[in-house]
Amino acid sequence: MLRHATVFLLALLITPAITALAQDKDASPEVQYQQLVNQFRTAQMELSKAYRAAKTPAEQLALRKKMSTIGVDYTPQFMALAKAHLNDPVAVDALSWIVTGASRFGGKEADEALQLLADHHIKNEKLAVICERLRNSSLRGAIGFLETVLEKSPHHDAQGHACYSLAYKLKRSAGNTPANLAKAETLFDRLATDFADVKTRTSTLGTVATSELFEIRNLSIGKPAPEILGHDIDGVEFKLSDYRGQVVVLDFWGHW
Amino acid sequence: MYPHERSLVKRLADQPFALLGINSDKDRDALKQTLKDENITWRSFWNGGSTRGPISTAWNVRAWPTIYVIDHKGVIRYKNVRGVRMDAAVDALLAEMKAEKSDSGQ
Repeated sequence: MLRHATVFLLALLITPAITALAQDKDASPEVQYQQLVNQFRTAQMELSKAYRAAKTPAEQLALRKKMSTIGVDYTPQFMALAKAHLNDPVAVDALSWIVTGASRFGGKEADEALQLLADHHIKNEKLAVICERLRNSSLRGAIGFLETVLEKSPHHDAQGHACYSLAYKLKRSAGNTPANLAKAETLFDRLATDFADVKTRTSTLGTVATSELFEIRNLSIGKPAPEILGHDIDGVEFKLSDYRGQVVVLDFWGHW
Repeated sequence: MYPHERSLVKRLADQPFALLGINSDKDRDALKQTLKDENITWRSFWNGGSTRGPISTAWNVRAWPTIYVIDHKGVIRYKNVRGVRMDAAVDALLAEMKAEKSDSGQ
């Protein structure tokens, strides 16, 4: 078992090194993309190997820092490949790599990548995945990109995920910009009406929209707290309204 | 979290204030031990042994911890305030409650 694992690891380490050596500009764009991905993975693996072998905390710290930023070194190459074949489907993969990687290692090219995707590949169905991933992204161009996909994509799934991520981001920003809450509500309404059938990893956008709309309409600041009827840890029944007349801090917690 | 909550509960022991948990642990017996070990004296609803339990689902909770601060009339007034911001929120609502009572001559 152990020997198999070792052979497998060796194969992983050697194969990309060979393809990297074999890289040439005459290769098809798809092959060039795959070569870049392999080179990146090899570099990642070599770093983690070095990290495991590191002797001092200072060495480990330096390697960990390098591991978290290694993608930045590859971003310009993915961008160059995308720009050289801007209207080829491979550009979508290269630009997606930049955008989704940006959440892990940053990268100033990510906003430009979003713009290129919107300008040249708005009809590509892979934009659905990008829209989903943009939900928790802090990229400046994310909102504009999501709005464009929602408006112009011919794919129902891509539009649905754009609508959800857009609504989610607006709701999150409502703490600082209260007017965004009403905008988020409108978008969640649209999500429930137009995209309820679109699947997420664990449920559907319809289910998500119902919960989010309930929260906006019933759990916002200024709304009466909904009743909670339940049991305490010892099994004794009690309810939130038992505490009416007192100031209450409700803490959803767990010891983990 | 616990040290701050313990000190808040202790400081406001004689005030019309309650800290209520909604606990999403899996194991009730382990939780009882935690309450003892951490000196957690405040009451918690049991969320059915899961983060997807009925109460957190009804309240659309997707991040832990999630905090709501509710005034004496049962109205939601603050969300996700922690540390000194939680203290300030509770103190403001207690002060508001007292001011209302003295206005109405009680």
